[in-house]
Order: sequence, then C-alpha cells, then structure tokens
Amino acid sequence: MSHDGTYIAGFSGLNIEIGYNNPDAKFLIDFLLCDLQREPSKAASVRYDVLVVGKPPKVSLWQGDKQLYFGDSKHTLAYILINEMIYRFIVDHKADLAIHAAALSSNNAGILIPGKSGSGKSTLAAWLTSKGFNYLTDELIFLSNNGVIKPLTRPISLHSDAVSALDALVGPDKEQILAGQRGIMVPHRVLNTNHVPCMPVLSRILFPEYQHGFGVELKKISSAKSCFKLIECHANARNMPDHGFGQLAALTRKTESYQLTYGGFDGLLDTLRPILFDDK
Amino acid sequence: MKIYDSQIPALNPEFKLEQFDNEILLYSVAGTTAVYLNETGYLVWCLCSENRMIGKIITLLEEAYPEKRQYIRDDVISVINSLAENNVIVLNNES
Repeated sequence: MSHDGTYIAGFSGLNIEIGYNNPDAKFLIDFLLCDLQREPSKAASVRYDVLVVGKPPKVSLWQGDKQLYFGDSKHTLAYILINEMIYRFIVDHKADLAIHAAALSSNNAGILIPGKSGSGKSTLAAWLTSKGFNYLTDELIFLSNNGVIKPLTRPISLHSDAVSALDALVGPDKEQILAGQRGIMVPHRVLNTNHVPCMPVLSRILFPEYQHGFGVELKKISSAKSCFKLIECHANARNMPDHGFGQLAALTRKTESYQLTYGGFDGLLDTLRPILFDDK
Repeated sequence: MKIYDSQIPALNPEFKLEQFDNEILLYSVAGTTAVYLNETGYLVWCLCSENRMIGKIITLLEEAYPEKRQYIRDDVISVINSLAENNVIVLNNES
C-alpha cells in the first residue's frame, strides 16, 4: 500500500502543491498547513516535496531537483517551507496590500498587530488567543481597499526567547508543539479551541514593541504615524500603484491606532481592556 | 552633516505629499522611502521649495515666531539635516 501523496494548500487565489512520501511527512504538512484551504478551480503554481526517511528520521525539503533543506529538524524544515510559500503568495499579488502582521478577531472586528520580526507580535497574538480572541495569523495578511483582512493562518511561530514567557499558556499539550533551535511552532487551537476562520473588517491597529524588563505602556498614535509605521511592514509595495501609499493612508485615517510597549503580561489585561476587551 | 546658512536646499521631486491634519508624510514614488514630518518640519519643507538660503529660512521663522527665537536655528538645522539624510532635499555645496 502506498503512503505517498500530494497536498494542496491555497491562499488568496493561489494554490501550492506539496508532495510527501509517508505518513510522518503528511503529518508534518498537516500540522503546518491545515488552515490553508485549497482554492477552487485553480491549478497549483509551484510544487515542493517533503521527505522523511530513515531511523532516526532525516527530513528534506525539495523544489524540483533543488534541495532546500536536509537534516534532523522538522522545525527548521517547516520554517523554511512556510517562508517559501509566503514568498510565493506575495511575490506577484497585486489585488491587496500584503502586510507583515499578526491578526485576531473579536465579534467580527479585526485587530491588526503589524511589526517586523522580533517586535513581539507573535507573542502578543499568542497571549490574546489564550484570552479568548479568535486567532487569524501571526505573520501575514492581505488587506483589501475596504479594510477586509484576509489572514494566512498557520501555527504560531515563537522565537526561543519568547518560549518561556508563554510556557504557562501552553499547559499540558506540549506534545503538539514543534520545537527547534530557532524557537517553537504552536498550533493556535492549543491556546484557544474555538477557532472560527473568518475575514473581518479592520477595527484597530496595535503596533507592538517588546522590551525585556519593561512594564506596559499604551499610547494612541496619529494616522500619520500609523501610516508611516505600516509602510515599514508593507510586503508587496512594488506591485501596487504609488507603492500602495494612498491605500495605506486611507485605511489609517479611519482606524484607531496604538503603540504598545510591553515586557511581559503583568498589567497587560488592564491596559488593553479599554481598546480591545469591550465585551470580555 | 555640517549645514551652512549660505546653502540653498532644493526639493527632490520624487517625493509626494500626504497630509493628515497637522502632520505630513512624504513618500518617494521611486522607492519605498517615507518621511514623517510634524508641523515644524512641514513648515521648513515648504520654505525649502522657494530657492531660499538656509540663513533666510531661519530669519523668516525668527521674525514670524519671535517668542521661539532661541530654539528656531537648532530646530531648522535639525529638520534640514533629517530631510537631507532621507534625500527629500538636496543641498548645494557651501559657497
């Protein structure tokens, strides 16, 4: 009986095909891509292959004849594969603004948490998810002209230095976590089982800045500053007329934006309650 | 960067302006550069558009805001420096 096969993952009009050679490889792909549903009536634009062989198992990632990874770490393979896929989804996308951001929703209101790597957006998204917010992504959204958030939903990816801070949130389900030297990937359903796939309208923008040892500070910022900061997180500017600047300006004019500096979770609930926890 | 009163700033035409109430964003249509200006920065940027020497820009602002005279030179030099570093303006050589 053959255990190999093909998995199709889709996002915003594009499908990507991933081949696998056995149930272990299929399990890894499911872990990473189970929220990316195949786009109907679309052929896959690119194919990758994930192979798991030997005992102890070695894993490898391929694009055609090109080996992208070979080694012991499933986490590293998953990290490389999802970044390859994100590049494919963004590179020619012209219909929406691609923003490097986490996103969550509450009662169909979308909360955007934009930031560069290391800003603390994944940690904040994980914590908010554990507090009952609906997790959408910790990495990438497409944002339409009318403010609809289309999230690329994947496991929450945390750097090594954020892991201890979130240890208590993960609880006894540690066997569901994919760990590696770079950090860990946590299925969002471990933090909140009530996940509802959705595309909410943008309601708040929260720019995080993690500073070890800092308390908590929340400041409302102007539309101009919000637009300026959002430009730094705009991933497909070269595909858009005027680099999408006019669209970003229009969206930030009608959305309340905040700068959150935090060094832990103490006091975070009380600080964020007035702007995010209206009903919680 | 050393700034001289006799230098004349010229605006880089690649930058477009987006106004948000009292604040301004300038962005480059050729690249992805954006520059944030507060009210003071915007005023200096406007005064750079009319072929004036920096010394003249400082004098104009000192006459318009005599109560802030002691801060104006440093503020203008700071804004000019920032605009030049971000390529929003080009400064001619000191003459």
